[in-house]
Amino acid sequence: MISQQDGRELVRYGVAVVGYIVLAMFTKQFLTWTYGPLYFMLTLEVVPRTWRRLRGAAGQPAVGE
Amino acid sequence: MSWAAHEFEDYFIQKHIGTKASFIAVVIGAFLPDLITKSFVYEHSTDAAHFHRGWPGLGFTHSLMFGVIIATAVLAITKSRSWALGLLIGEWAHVLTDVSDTAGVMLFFPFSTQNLSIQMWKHAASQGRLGDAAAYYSGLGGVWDFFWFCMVVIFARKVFRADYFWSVVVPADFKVWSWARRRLHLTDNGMLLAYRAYFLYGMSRMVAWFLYARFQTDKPWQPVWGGPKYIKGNYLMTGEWWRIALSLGIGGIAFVACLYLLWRLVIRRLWARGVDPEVVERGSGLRVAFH
Repeated sequence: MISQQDGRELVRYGVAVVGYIVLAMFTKQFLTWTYGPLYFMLTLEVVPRTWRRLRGAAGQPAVGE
Repeated sequence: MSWAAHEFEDYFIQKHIGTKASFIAVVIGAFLPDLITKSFVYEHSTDAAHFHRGWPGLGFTHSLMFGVIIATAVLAITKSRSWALGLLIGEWAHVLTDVSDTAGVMLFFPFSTQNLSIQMWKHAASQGRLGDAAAYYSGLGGVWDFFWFCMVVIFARKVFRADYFWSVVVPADFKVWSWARRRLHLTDNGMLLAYRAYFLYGMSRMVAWFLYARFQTDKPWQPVWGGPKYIKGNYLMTGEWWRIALSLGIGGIAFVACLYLLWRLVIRRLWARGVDPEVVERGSGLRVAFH
């Protein structure tokens, strides 16, 4: 049985995977083994974390914190 | 060459090594043969296969002995058994996978410069990067990637669980994960993602290249042995079968004898003074590396 949190995580991963595929198909820039994993670190960790921090700094309730 | 199977295999291996080898070392070991060759391969388009897998060339990176030398050097310098084992297992997995394409690998270099290949799919590096990928995903190469993807998802999916990562993967290589956390300012989620990233990358890569081969190159899909037939592949295992068998046989025996001598004279001592993470309990035989 998949918990709600795991389900949300799977959806986020799925969106990032689809994003990679769309990006690769449109740009024909197939990310190599160094930049590929970096893409996932950026889209699934760095960008959401920065977004949460900015929202927090702007006085809005930080999502997920 | 294999495009995404190398990424998937790492996670399947992780299931079997548990805490006995470093996952990061397995990943680096699996990349090692292509690390110093891949970026140059497509620049040598006239003789790409020979440059990548042959001798003279950089084909020695795709040999079993290359893994032994790298692992021994790391064991001597760092004294880390789990890193030495991880590098060895990762490199050997890469080399054995690459036996499947038409170029093959010099498995027993330097004792034999004969390439071994089962010619399951085309090595088409002379077609450039995009052409090589299109050939791979138009033949059994893409099927091979999908096979390993299924193997991981069906038989090794527990390795993706957060509790597995924190209780097995991190303790097996605590110093390096701690260092990465400090230096890169990673959160718990970031650590877990860094561990899972190569699987996500492998999956995305497999689908993207397959779609590229189907819809942007208009190449027909020919998942048959040695296919696709309409592309000229690179063959390095040529000549009479008995000469090939003889060369590989002699090379194999010499490799095993050399490995035994290396173990008796050098590696055994290095192993004895090597150190393990606290969580590791090694058995004997294959249980030194697998559980």
